[in-house]
Amino acid sequence: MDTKMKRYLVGRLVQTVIVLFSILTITFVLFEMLPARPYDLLMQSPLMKPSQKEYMIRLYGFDKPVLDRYFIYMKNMLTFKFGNSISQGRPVWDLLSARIPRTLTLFGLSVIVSYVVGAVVGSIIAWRRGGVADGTAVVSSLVFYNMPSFWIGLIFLFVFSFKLGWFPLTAWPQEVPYSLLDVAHHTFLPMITLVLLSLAGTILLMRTSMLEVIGEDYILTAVAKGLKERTVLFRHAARNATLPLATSFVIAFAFAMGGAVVLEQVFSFPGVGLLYIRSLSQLDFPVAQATLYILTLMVLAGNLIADILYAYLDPRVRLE
Amino acid sequence: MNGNGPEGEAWAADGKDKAMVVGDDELKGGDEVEKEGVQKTEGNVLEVEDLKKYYKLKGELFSKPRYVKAIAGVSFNIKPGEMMGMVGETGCGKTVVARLIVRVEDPTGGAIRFHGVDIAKMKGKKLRQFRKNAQMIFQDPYASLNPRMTVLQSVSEPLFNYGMRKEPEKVYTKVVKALEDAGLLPVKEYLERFPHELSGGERQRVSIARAIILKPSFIIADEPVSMLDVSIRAGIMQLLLSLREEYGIACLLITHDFSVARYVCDNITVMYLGRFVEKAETEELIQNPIHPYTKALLQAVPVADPTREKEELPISGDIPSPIDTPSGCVFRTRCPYAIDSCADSMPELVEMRPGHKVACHRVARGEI
Amino acid sequence: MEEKSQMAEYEEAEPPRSFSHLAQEDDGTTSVFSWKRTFARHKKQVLAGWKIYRKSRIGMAGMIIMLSFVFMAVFAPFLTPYDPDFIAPAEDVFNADYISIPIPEDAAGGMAAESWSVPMGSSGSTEALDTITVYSREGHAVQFSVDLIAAEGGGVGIDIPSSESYDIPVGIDVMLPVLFKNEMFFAIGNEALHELSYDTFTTSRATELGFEPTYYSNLWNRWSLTNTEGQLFFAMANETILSIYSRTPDTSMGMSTVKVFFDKVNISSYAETADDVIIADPIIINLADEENGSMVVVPTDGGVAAFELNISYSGGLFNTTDNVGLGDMIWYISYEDIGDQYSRDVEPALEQPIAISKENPSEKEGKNRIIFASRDGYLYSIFRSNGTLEWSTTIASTQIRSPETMGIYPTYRGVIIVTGMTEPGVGFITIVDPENGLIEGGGTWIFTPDSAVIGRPEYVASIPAYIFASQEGTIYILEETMELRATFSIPGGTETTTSYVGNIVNNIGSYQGNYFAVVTSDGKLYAQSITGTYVAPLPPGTYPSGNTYHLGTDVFGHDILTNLLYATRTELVIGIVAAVLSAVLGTIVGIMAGYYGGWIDSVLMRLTDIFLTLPMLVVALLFAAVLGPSILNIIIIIAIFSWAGVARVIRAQTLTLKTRCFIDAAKVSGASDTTIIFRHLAPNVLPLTFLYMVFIVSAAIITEAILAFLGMGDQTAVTWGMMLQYLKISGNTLTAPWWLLPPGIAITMFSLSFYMMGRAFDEVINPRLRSR
Repeated sequence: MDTKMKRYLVGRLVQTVIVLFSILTITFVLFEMLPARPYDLLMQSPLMKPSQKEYMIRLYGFDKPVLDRYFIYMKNMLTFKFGNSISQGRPVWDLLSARIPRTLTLFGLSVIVSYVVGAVVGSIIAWRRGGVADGTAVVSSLVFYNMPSFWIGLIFLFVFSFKLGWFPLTAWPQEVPYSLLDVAHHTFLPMITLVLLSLAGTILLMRTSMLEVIGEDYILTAVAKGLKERTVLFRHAARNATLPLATSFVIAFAFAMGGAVVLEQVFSFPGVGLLYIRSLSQLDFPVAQATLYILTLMVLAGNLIADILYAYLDPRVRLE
Repeated sequence: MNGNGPEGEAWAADGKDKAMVVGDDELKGGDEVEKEGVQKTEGNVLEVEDLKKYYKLKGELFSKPRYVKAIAGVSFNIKPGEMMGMVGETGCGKTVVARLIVRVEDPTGGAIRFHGVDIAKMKGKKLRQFRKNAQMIFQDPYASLNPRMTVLQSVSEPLFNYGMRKEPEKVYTKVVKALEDAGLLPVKEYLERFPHELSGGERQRVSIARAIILKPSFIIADEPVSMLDVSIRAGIMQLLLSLREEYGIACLLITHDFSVARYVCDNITVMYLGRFVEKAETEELIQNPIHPYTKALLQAVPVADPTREKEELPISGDIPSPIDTPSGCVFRTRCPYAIDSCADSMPELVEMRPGHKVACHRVARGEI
Repeated sequence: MEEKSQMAEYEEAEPPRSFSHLAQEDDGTTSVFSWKRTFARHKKQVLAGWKIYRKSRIGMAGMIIMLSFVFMAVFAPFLTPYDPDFIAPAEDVFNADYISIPIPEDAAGGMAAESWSVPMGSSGSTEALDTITVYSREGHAVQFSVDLIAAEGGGVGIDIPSSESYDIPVGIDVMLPVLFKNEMFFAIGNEALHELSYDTFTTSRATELGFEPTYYSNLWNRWSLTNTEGQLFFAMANETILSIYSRTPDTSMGMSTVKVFFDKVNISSYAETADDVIIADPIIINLADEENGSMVVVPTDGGVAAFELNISYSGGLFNTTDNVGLGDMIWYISYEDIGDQYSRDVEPALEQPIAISKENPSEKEGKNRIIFASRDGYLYSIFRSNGTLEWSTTIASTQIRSPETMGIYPTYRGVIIVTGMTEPGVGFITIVDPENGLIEGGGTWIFTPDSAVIGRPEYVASIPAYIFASQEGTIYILEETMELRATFSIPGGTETTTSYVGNIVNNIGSYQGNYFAVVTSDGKLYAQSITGTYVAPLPPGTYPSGNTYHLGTDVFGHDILTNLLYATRTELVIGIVAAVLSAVLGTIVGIMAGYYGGWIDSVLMRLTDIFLTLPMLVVALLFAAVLGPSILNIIIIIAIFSWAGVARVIRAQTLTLKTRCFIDAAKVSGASDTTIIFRHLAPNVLPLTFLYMVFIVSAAIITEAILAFLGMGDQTAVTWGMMLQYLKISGNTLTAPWWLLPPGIAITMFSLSFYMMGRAFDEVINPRLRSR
């Protein structure tokens, strides 16, 4: 790896860290602004003795000034010390540990699949601009792109689970032990929904980017040279057209995460997103902070990987 | 052809009166300018002394910063009404000189004096007053006009910048006059056109109209015709000359094309890598080039004379990177006459013939 | 060589060769500022852009869809007959089942079941409906046992598994169930009052009355601290005789001390009522725990008379009643007197002209007035203690014109029900405040059923509702505000020759809030669920009320089509405001960063990066939890997450523009920074801003929908997202596709239209995308 690449990596890493810190700070401020304290729910119980209340306050650090709390928060987050859930009394990590890989697979796999499929489909239809395939693909992509994610999920649930009964209503096998097949069967619906949503955007973007690339002179040269259509399409055009796609990956990742969170709700998929939403409504602070942090980490990690891949593919980026 | 003499003075006096008419309210600090500038009408319009511009490069972490020496110390004067030409290849820094003079960029060192007042370090309102004295015409006729503004808007803008908002009729009259002077007739047909509705030549004329509307004493023309069709160039050049005739506007013409420079300029300076290498009156330079670089440039100009013999003057290599300029004489890497001692120091401009200065050690020593 | 810069290339799509058609007509003004000029200028640019836009099929399609939404938003009131607060009436939303069971023929001894009475229900000890009894004059009673069961489609139904027939004394006119520890029936007829046992209908006691009563009072079941078993007081009257029947409870302090008292007076023996005839039911006014002050009030054809009700006790440990009797006339007020005082002709209401101001038997409060209704709709308040007039009002109004009052009835609520007929021969029912005689609800609580109100309307406190039957055979259930809650038709209606309608609501126990109206008609007993099963959300169609819900209703009874249309307004506001906000903010940041460069640029770009990489939804939820759900907050949240994208693009555009020398030219011409930003950069950047604005509208709608769905939406606002959220909460997701599909389709189409318009507009500003 040459120095330029190294420098770029370091730069991006630093950037990620800065962004992470800023996001953590922003979320800390937001949590402080919530009209409730972590121990409110517990404190309502009349069985609470004053000494216990004091203990609670001290446990959550509200006896100290804001700045101290901030540092404690940062330290805890960065060392992954999440404390215990208020509503469930268990360590937050316990709740999270099983969910993280689930959300990662759901979310990661679907994004990857959608990008790969989208890139291929997008480039093919752009090549045959104006054909029936182009028209249908564009129209359906447009429609799916603008559908609210949860709604598609609900409809799929209605049609495929309820009416047709092909897939179970819950998104994760209940009976233990379960096989991979069981998992696949249960998670198929949320997965396919996520894929479809990202696919739409990817196809559109890829198509646009391909059209621009196709207009360039070097494609004309390649065709004039007599290269096979396939070669030109994939080796030359698509290669270059995927680069803008990679830039959009960053933003798309954040959106996909949002979509995953919502779909976890719709399909009752036991992932991090569902935990987050539940913890917010219960005002279970430790869980909410921890899940938010994990979700952010996932997005940032995804971005970093995407950027590195992008820099690997496109040398121009490293010169920035 | 020179601006010296009674006509030039008349113009300068004229300029003073006209300048004071344009929007008095903003001109607090300008009064001094007026006094100083006008008093020195017999002096130079522009004096540039040892102008330097270095660009800092983004360095590696923990290493010494490196610089691009775009301009490494140039000096020249322009008298009222004088048309000076600056010739050089791409990257020699001539555009940078232009931008420094109009203070679009800040010089790293040196002095820029308009009518005796050094504006090199001026900022803010004071600087804005000085802008009235010097205007610029740019290379790309399209890019120099705001695509969303009509001709009327573009040309009237300078007046608004100096506070003429309260007198729209006066502005209108001035705009019409400026467009007439720039040769866009009938004026009324052009007023509401957008830049994309004009041809290249017309756009350049609009830029010129915009430049002269403030009655500056000095205009810089940065490659004004290089992007125009050859058939139109003559018209534009004629226009510049006529402006000098009517208003006594001095002009610094920047170009890479000798034929253009020859057409309008009183004298020509040749630039290489941010330094002047030769300077002389136009015909003198073109007939008797001394510096090897000048000779090479002139050789490259196609001449419509089949009988003329070409003197082969091999210059080898490409223009070196401006970051690591060669030590001593910057041209030595390509100069066919270079010897070791050329690397010792950068040669100064030395007068070899009357009014003809050359910067070359060996020429100074009479070796070539 | 002429190098074309990018902008030159694209705006020169049609290189101008001849200018004549472009030459402006000179308007003769010699001023730089001219509205005509400015207008012409902008028109030129807009038309040029429009020409290109028009060519895009996507763009035109998007625009058409968007315009239809705008049309929907503006003309919503005309596109749907319902206003946004509309809720489907109860009759559509409730499924009221009834069961019918024939009254066994042999119960009537094979005789025609023509004279079956008003059915009575009783609940025994469990407060759930237990038995229903009907009886006939011919001496038969049938008692149906009742089971409450789970009904189809939810709710509680009734099952009548069996019945028993009994013989009762022939000629019984009226039978009353007496409950609360004295479970028996009072059966009156043949000049006697029988106490019939509850189970076997055998006479346990009979008292000779010496006259045939035609009017019957309320039953006062008196109990007090010392007399908790309940002493019964019951007044009966005919044209001239007023009587009181009282009976002590079966056991008191363990001793069987039933005493029966009976007294009567003849009103002819009083001077005031010498020629009078009693015309309606008397009222026992009881003042619990006070021996003195109880009275019986009776309306005659000449006036209203009040008689003492004397109850004497012997004190001591065993508080027993010594005597109950009617004393002297306390006061009498004649209709003439009333008429004189108000200069009117006063005639009593046709069926029941007097009512006590409040019905609750054990409370003393509020019982200080007797309300008298005259036939012409005037009400008068008479002080109970001395028979003097207090106030007079009328219930005549635009809705009740020329009232012909039938009767007034007190309620536990403390208001008086007034029924009667109004022009043109249609019944009315209304509620009046006994304190002042004014129609409740500011004079608006009036209901006009399809025909006259027959019988006595009932007020059920626990629903709460008013229940009565009309002559046409419809049972009405009204809200407290006299708004229609539900109606049911009596099967068989009034076509059968004899049908008695009974609302037995007081005595029908509730089973988790379900009430039944029990009716006999044409030899059958009908038990009709009054409260019914709630069947909303309703699929699209036409419903009993005559309303058509083209897209059905939601679980609250809101018409989905109406909600869909009115929500369009909110969506437009949210989308456009959020988009404008983000676009403006993003543009400002972008221009600042791009123009000034340096540290400003670095800082702003860092900020932008942070907001770009924030996982939007996740943090938005947090924001929503902090700020609280409201339309404004949602708009702010959307703006917070959208400005960054705009800023990035605008900055890039600014940087590109900076390289174009007109910026430098402006500087050279003496323009200040602000001038450059506003006159040069901004107009060239605005098309891009506008483009992104359109895309943001599209995204904002979807974001709002997602936020609403996750519970962070504004509860008071109607938006498509909230519609879907209510769907989720009510658990109808899988069962109400007519509720699931329209909002989602609306969201998709709305968002899609803006997106398509954005794409087309993109082609206008960025010609590289145009078809070759």
